[in-house]
Amino acid sequence: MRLYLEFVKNAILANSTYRVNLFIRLLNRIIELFIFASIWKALYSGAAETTSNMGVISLNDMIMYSIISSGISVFISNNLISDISDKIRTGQIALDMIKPINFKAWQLCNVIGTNISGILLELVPVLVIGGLAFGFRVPEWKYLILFFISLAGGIAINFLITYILGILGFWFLEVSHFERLLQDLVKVFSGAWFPIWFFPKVLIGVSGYLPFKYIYFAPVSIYLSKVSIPGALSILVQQLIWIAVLFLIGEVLWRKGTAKLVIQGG
Amino acid sequence: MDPLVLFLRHASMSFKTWMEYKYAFFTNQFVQFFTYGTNYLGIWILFDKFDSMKGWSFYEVVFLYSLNLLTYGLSGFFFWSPMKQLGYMVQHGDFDSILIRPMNPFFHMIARNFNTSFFVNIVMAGIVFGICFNRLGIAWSPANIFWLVIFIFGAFLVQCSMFIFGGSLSFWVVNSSPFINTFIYGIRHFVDYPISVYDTVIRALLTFVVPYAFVNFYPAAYFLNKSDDMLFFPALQYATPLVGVILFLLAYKVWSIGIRRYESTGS
Repeated sequence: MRLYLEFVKNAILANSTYRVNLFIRLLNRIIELFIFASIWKALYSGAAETTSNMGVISLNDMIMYSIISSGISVFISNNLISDISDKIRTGQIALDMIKPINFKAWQLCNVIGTNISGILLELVPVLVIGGLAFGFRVPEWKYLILFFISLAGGIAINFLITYILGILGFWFLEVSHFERLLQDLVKVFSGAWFPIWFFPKVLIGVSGYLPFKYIYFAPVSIYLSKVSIPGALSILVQQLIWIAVLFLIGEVLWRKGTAKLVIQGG
Repeated sequence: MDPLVLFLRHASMSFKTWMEYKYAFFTNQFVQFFTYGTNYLGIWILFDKFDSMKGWSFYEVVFLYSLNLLTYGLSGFFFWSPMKQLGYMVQHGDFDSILIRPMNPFFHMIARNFNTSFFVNIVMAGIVFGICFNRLGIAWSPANIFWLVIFIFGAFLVQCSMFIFGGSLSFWVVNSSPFINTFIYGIRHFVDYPISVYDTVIRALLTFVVPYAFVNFYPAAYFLNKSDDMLFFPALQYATPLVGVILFLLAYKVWSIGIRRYESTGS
């Protein structure tokens, strides 16, 4: 356990080193937040609220939606896919496999460490600037607790999906295309971009078969109290089911991948 | 040798390289198609629910977005790779090899590095743009065609200049890539939507400081008769070509200063 804590600490330090990258990422998030706040205002065109298939949604809800999902995005972007596939392509993975550590747990520690450093350096500035510019509201404690649990679930789902794409590197030389496709799918079907309650019926149907909405949409709609408490609990159960399914896929692929792995030279 | 002949030789060499990597070529096209198709899908989602965005209809916003995408694709074809690679080349001293060639380094960098991934952007944006032109009932009159060509050229120069400004920073900072990203994946997104949705400060910034608004908003204002749509001066809707040329000259100046600085540090 102490060993893994060291990995977390290392990732925190590594992430804090690249200050310019951090600053630029923050700047892009703030820009995006202002774009979203402005287009929601323009689309509502003076009306305070509109109806959706999940009840009445006010303009304030939408602005809060943008702030919270911008905050969640701090925990969702990671380099896991390229890190893992690079290790496989270069053969570095062979050295990692003979270390007395669990590869997946090690990668998880990297992600956790990166996320922890992101809290202070990225999340807090986004929330403070967003809150000062547009106002901020906190739900009642029951929803807040459920929100944090579903957020953790969403981060786990994102970790497992990116881990699976990374180890596809056992079969494909180049996985960066999959990464691009994943980003686009996540952008639409996670609700990171526009909430699913404004989607046309067809796309709501599609999003039901995909795990992506549990990354952004589910936690934010819990935060905004747009689901009942039993509804929120059922979301958590569905997240658990997806986590179990993705975990199993990851394990199977890892076994098959390492079994066929041949490192040339080295 | 004539610089133009040299440029064309390089271009034909790049073309042969792409033909060697057909699989990569087509997967790149598919991925680009998917990404930018997704962005069109996003506009459709918004307008499925809402009727208008500050008086702009679905086709008007698609028109606006396509103009941005088309000129971004055109400029990316020439400048994406050279400007993204410049940082690495300066760091590793590879840029020296560009300086000793009997060709202007600027044109040499472009000629050896066309980025074919942008083909699909250009084709897709061009087709969608044409559809919007018809849907919005804009006449294909000689005057409109004249302004269309001029505006696209001006907007293309604005987009190129942003790449050059960002890339030229490599001569001053270790890694210029984040700065280019801020331009093309950050600030540029402001003009995915009509800038009349933003408050005056942001509109002024996008007009006078980082003039992305000339890429699509002001030209679109001309075609869609939006001159009452809170423009600072109505004449700005004709200013895209002028802004493009000035910005491009300025960007080239920054590039030249950067090269001189690179030479003086020696490595």
